[in-house]
Amino acid sequence: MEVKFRKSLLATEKWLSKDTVLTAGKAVTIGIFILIVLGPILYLLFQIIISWGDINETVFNDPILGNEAFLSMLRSIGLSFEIAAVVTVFDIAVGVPMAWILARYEFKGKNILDTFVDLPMAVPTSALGFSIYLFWGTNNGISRLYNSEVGFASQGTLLIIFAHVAFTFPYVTRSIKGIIADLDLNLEKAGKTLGASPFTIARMISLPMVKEGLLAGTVLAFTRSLGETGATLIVSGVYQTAPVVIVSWMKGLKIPTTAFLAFILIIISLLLLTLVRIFARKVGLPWNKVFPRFERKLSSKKVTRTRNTFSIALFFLFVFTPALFVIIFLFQWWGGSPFSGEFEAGMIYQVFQAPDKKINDIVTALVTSLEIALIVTLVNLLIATPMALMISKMKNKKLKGFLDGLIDIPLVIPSSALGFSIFFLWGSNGLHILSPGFAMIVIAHISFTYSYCVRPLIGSFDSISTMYDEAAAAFGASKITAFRTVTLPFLKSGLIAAAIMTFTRSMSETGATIICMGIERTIPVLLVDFFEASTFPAAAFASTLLIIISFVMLILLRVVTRRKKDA
Amino acid sequence: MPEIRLQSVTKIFGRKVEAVKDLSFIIEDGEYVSLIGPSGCGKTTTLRLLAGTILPTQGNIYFDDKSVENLSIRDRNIGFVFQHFAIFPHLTVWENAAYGPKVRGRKKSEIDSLVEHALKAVQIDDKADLYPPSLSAPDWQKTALARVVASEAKILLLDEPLGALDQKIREEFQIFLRDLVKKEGLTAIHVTHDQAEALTISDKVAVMNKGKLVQLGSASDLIFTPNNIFTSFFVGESDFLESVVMNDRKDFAEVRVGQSTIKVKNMGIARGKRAVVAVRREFFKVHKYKDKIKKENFLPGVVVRDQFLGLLRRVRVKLENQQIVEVKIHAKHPIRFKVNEKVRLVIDPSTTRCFEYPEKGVASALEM
Repeated sequence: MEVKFRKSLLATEKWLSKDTVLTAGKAVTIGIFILIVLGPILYLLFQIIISWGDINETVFNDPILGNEAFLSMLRSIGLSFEIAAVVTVFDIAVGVPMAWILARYEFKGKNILDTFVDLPMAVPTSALGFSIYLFWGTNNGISRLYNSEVGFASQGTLLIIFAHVAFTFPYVTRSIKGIIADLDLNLEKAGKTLGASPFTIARMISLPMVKEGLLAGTVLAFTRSLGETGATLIVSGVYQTAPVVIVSWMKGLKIPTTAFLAFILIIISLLLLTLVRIFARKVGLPWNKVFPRFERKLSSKKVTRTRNTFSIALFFLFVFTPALFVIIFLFQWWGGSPFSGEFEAGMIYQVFQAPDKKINDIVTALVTSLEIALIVTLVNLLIATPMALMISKMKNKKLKGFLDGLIDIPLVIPSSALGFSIFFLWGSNGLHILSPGFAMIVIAHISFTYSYCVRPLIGSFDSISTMYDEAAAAFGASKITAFRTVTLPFLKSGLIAAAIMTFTRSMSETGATIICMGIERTIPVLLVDFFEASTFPAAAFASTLLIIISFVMLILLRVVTRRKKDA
Repeated sequence: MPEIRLQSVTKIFGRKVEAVKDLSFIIEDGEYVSLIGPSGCGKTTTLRLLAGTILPTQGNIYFDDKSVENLSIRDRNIGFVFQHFAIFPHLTVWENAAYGPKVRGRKKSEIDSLVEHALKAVQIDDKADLYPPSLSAPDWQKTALARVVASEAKILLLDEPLGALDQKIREEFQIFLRDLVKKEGLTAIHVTHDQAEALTISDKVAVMNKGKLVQLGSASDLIFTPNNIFTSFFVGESDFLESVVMNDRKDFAEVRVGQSTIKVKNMGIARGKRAVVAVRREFFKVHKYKDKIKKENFLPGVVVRDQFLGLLRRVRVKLENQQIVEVKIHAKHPIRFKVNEKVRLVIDPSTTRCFEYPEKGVASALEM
């Protein structure tokens, strides 16, 4: 039995390893990529061009509003950029010292701090935004410290910045922490023997070597801020960023104007991506001038300690505490209002006892979210693995670079714009295969998590030495047999890591989901609904649930990636 | 019963990088052959051509008179041993050895007996259930060999197989490896940059340079009777004396080097032609000029330097024609030579080789 099974398995694998079958597989891989990522975007561009008349009328020459739609687009895009710029500057200012602390210092609780830094990245942004709103924007949070009746800041630009800082901050820290830890310390020692102060060394020797990582992290932070929807919906009030405008126009079914805004956002993101890819290597850090006295002062123990304390304090004040404040809020409002004691205002009543039985909605949404995340993860692993393998093994350098660049597209495009283009292609305006609902959400999620899956897998494939493949082939294994018996075991932890990233991203997304969801609700969207209905304790319950789930995911991810390092 | 034959094999990478040029040779069944040569001489390319990971641009390769042109690496039934072992870290020693028969769909009982035999043959059966990361480099090498033995390959291709081992262990492994190959009746082709290893381990050594086969022969052929300038230079070290043939006798030829005439081996170069006499550095005898010895067949010179090299000493001598030759003598040689001291370099004709003078000079023949 066993021999028979193995023989037929080997025969099947041999058939699959035929050049023609493999070529067909490659074609399918690229086909899927086009269908879910490239196609929707191209279709949107195409539609904008052929229905320019419509757009011209609604966007620029509306009989009543004139070009008001266009002006408000420009305003929202401008606001998005301003916010993203401020957020990125803060991320670098605090994120770089933080990465340095995590990479170079040994202290008690370092691992916990490390996990805390990553946490905001895993928590759904709508939960994060809600928590931050409670902390800064209501009289439950920081304003209690000085007995104010109102929050520290009302909904608007400042709160948006606070929220964005919280979830973009880890991108910068994470992208350079590993590189700093791997730097050759001898170079720094050499700098020291030549009389440079530690600050000068860090600036002129170490940081230039982490340049590319820093740039990658900065781009991620910037584009994430530019494209975020969930948290922004909650903290923005009347100041709407571009992705939020897409969502609200979509809700108002202003399809042509939404299409045009999504189009502009996509173009801008692609331009940014192209610029970064072209100039990434060429950018130099501008200062080669040295200020020995000043920099020596900056390197003094006192200044260093102050700087480190400051970074950690800023992290706890602006990122950690606001991000998790919702848990405190939940306990404050557990059985009733902490102000009036009224039972009906408490979480228990709102979630479990009120006539609308929010617990049912929560459970349904949670199940929907989990189902979607699971399907998205499985499908993505299935379609991302061959793509990653293909890119990693590609010999034509130009084609490889081109495909490699295409892979990043979903990473930089605001998910609401991407979701809209999926809706546009697959829905009634395009192929007319799907209407908004479960399946469309799944496709949208596959689309924006695609890079999260492919990118790290390319790295995994690159790190496997070709000699193992050759060895397997020398002993008679067909290509697919070699892949199953040799490559896959090497890939295991990389696959699990990619799966967890994809799963968490899918669980937490808001913007694209709102556009593609129809009557379905995922849990981050439900949270926004609760917020808009002002049932804060129920929202806090859902948020806490999400934070716990993300925390578990994060711990899993750390265990998996750490084991990989040990091997 | 594999006999390997390469027939005018040429491999060109890209448009014009000729890695291997018109290579033809035969490796007989059961022979252990090493390929040596300077970096980039085409020895690894030759191995890869035999393995089938790359295909020849021209020419053909035959295993037992059958062309392997259309056989991929999977179907050539070769055993490949990699420099960095390439044993699978996620499989135990046993599973590593079982890999070949398993992916070829053999029966479980057959696999068991093949692996058992292989593990015993390389003496690693006591570690069958361990995973490679917990083992040492020599055990990795044994696992890699067990994997090859269990795969029943009859042709063994080894790419710098001992390169990653320490010197001492490497020397033990040379013997171990040769014994294993002979006991299992394999035909082995072994690429190495270590010529001592090649001379120790093989039946025959192929010297390659610039993509061409320079000489194929036994260790003693290469050392004592090299048939070209490059081999005399690359295997061991020789001095090259530019000369003109004055006389050719039955046993020896007389050549003129500078002002002196010496007897060398007659290798059929016609009278009046320019020639290059190769003398291995250890084969010169150095004497003080004034020493009372039989004064024939020597070149006079002046010592430039006498230097210790561990067990040997290197004496540099400037000949009358201003050429500087190096001579190796035992470290305990009774005389310590002074700089500018006059000496005689005595030459035994039977230890010399005499080659035709290359058109573009000796240096051109030594280009790598």
